[in-house]
Amino acid sequence: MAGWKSPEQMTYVGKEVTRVDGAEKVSGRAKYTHDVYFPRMLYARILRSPHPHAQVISVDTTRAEALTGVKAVLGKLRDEVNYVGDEVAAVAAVTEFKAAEALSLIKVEYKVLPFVVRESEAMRDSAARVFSGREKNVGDWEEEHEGDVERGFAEAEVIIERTFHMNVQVHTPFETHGCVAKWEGDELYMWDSTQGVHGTRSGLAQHLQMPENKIHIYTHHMGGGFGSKFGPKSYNAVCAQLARIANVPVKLLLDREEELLATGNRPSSFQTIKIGARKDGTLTAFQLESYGSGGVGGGAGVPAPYIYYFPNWSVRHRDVYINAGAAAPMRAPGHPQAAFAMDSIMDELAAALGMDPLDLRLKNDRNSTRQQEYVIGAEKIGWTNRHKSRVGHKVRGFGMGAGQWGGGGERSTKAMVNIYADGSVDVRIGTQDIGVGTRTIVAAVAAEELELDLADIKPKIGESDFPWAPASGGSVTAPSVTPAVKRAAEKAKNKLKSIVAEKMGVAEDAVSYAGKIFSISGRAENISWQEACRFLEGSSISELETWGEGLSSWGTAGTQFAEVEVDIETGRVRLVKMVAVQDCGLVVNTLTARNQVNGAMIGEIGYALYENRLLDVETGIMPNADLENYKIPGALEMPDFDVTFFDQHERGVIGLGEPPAIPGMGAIANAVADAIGVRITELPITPDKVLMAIEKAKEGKA
Amino acid sequence: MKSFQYIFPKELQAVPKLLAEYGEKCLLYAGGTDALARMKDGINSPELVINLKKIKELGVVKANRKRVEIGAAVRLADLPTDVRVRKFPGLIEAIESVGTIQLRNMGTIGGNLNQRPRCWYFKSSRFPCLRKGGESCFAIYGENKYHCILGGYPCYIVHPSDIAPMLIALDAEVEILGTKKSRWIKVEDFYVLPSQDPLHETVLQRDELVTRILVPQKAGLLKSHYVKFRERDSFDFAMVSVAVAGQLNDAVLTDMRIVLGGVAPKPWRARKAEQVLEGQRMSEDLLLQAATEELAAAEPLEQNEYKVILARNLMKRAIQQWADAR
Ligand code: SF4
Repeated sequence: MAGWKSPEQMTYVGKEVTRVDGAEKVSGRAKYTHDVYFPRMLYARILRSPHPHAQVISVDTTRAEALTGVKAVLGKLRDEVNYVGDEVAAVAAVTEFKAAEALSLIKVEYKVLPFVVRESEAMRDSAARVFSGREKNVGDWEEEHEGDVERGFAEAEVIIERTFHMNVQVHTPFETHGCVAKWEGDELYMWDSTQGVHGTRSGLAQHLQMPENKIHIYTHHMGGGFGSKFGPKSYNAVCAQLARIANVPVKLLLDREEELLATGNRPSSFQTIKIGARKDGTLTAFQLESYGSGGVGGGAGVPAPYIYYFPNWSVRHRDVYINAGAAAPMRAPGHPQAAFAMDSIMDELAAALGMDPLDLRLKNDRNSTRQQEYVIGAEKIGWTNRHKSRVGHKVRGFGMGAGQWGGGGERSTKAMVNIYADGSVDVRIGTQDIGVGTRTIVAAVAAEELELDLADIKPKIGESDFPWAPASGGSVTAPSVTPAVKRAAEKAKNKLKSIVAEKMGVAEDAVSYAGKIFSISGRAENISWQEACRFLEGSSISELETWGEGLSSWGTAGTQFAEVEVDIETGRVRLVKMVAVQDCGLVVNTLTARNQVNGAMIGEIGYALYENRLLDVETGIMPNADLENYKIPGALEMPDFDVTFFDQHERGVIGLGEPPAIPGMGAIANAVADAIGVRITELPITPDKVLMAIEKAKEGKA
Repeated sequence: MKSFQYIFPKELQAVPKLLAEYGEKCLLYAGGTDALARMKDGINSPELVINLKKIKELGVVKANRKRVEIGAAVRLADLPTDVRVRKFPGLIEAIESVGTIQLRNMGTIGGNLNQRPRCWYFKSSRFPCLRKGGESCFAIYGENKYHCILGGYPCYIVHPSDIAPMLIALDAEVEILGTKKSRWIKVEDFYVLPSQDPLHETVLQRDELVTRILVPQKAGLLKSHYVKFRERDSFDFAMVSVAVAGQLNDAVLTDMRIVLGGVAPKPWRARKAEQVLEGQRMSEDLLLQAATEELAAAEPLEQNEYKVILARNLMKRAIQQWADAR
């Protein structure tokens, strides 16, 4: 089958295509899970543990069940709760307020147990246990090494050691987790805000012990997930069970507090790094000891040494458990943590060597794409002329960072293209649009292949009854979906060609198709797309095709540069400009791709400067479980964004979700250090930290 | 949220009577930007909610030779365009720094003065803290980055209003109506420290409400300026704010009134700083000396030592900007 044409030869792929569902979304017509409504529908709420650690002795739901308007109750979901927000029971009632009232009538007897919410404390042998009956709160050491680290440090002429600490970031999608469950006989229909309709179906089938073919999941539109919405989650099963008991549809939406407590987060990370280099900047050794916590979940490890080449290195990591909500994958799991610490210490090393940080990277990064991207990025931010300008108390600084990601396609992805007798076309694929414009690229790729107008194609996604596609995560969506759609469209087109050939009584290879016209070699007459489709005589073409090699690839490289302005009297860091130079192969839609990079940088600004999941040490409760105090940046915090795609279209489609979410924290932290002359080693870089760091530096000098 | 009765009285006189009768079981409601959130968060579960928006006299601005009188239920968004209020540039700055456009479109000036603390332990129903009638303060050994550095014991909130510090700098008063009488008191005396009353932020009695804000016309002769520093511009309360009013003649400072927000459980009149400044010639050293003397009494908690530096720098900056303004 044919590969991609070059972007100049294409109409929709590789071009700026506005979202096919944009008008629907901005006008409020797009139905998100939160908008789904059925007559007689009930509203469910989950009772959650107020204790960070307790044994659930008993759950008495009698009074809740007796409340008028309460239609279904699920008691005692767990024997032990391990964080504030862990599920205990659930109810469905005629209104949300009734459901909340019913929760207050459930009597739970807890045996409150000791808990721990600080990583450093949790690691001690004497610490309270996060899980009863487990011997310790730490995982096993994971160790890896290459070369001879001791020799590497012996060869080094400069050695730097620093410890870095990354806060816990929470996904905070604007649409909270939620679903609507509706039973028809023994079949379950569920509208869910999920990143994976197929995974949610198969997981629920297992959980509810029913066949997959009787579960139908719908995610027509969703308001973000960032990795927190790989279903099914326990709320899905709770909702399905309540709906089965009540025998009417049930809607279960989590509120913002639940979202912040119990739906996932990016683990904390504490990294002590030692790095050695020769005077000319050649890196000789790297050593990392790290720990971090994903609450009651794991996955706090980081890929290290990140990006730069070290002949000798050793890394050691262990996960620590604390009584807090479990981590979930979040945009490039592990990479931002690794990149922040690595790029921070690289700048410290550059300073110690008296070297330009850019030169240090050019010297030690063996990735040829990034080598070129560094040069482009430096040019865009004005690296060579970056003398620090000081306007009163405001100082400017510049920094850079780098990242890598995989982002390849899933081989078993399938798409179906239907061509109808009236000439219209639809594409069905069981992917979902997490918000990046997947629906639009499905239509664009089909339109491109069939040489039709975008408006001629109806993209149908977000249903588990459509052909299998992977969950939207790990940057796999575009490289999975586009090859399957392209190949299915090509197959359908060829089918139509053969029908034309048959009707015209010629051999198949005598028919060619271009620009909505079928022509027959040696004959003058042309057959339009519409006429050809009429040959279907009320029937249709339905072609299913699987992903195939040669249209997508794997592996990206990227760099980002930041310019900041720090007010040294208030400690406030303001981003002036962020530059991203990113490779992702063939850019399918240059408009939504740029959106995606901008969005990633917004997330990075939040992570670097604002967001911080706090836990009160005395109570184990998150005090800032709302969007007033869990601070995400808003419009006034946005810098000038400058995005360049490093063109490698010949590689085919590569995912873009994670790559631009990685290099920014290092770039921002380095820019702040450049501005104020002191390094902040702990995120987020808030005014209190900046002011205290400047003050300490002054004291040190005095 | 529990069910409640919701009424819209038209007569102002009816309100103190209801307050006297229901006490803590009722809630005054105007813009709702603070009250509604407290109800939803389970901090207040009133039986009766009294909406003040139908009471005409609370919604008007008047002016005479002596003062400008602002009804307590006047929307914040309506004030900056009012010529009578525009005479006090610092007050306009303070009003425009409140929350977001959306919040100013709903919020009222009386509500702003009477808003409850933002302390997260106070705002979450999970913490039965001192200010809610509980046993202890959770902030003192807890997450206290945003808490106070002055006037703190035994509760460590900061007063969240942006407008109150400026009103104090302008020597404004509030009119308070109770069942028996109405009274006028200085905004400065309207707020109390937790050592006097850890449960309430103001002197309002059970049956009382604020009906008007009275700004003396002579405050219009002063230069005034409000500086608010927030961690996030898009939406945040002040980390520290500074209201300045006074006169500057040939670089000599007189009638100086400096009030700090974000540092204490009430708007903090910086009297020591005022004394240092009064009658002196402006200089950076003088400003730093004034700020340093004022903050000498600061007792930061574990996570808010930075506020001492921030308050010092911001006082200096606010007065410099104030002096530089036309
Ligand atoms: S500072 Fe005041 S409001 Fe906050 S926890 Fe302490 S007592 Fe409660």
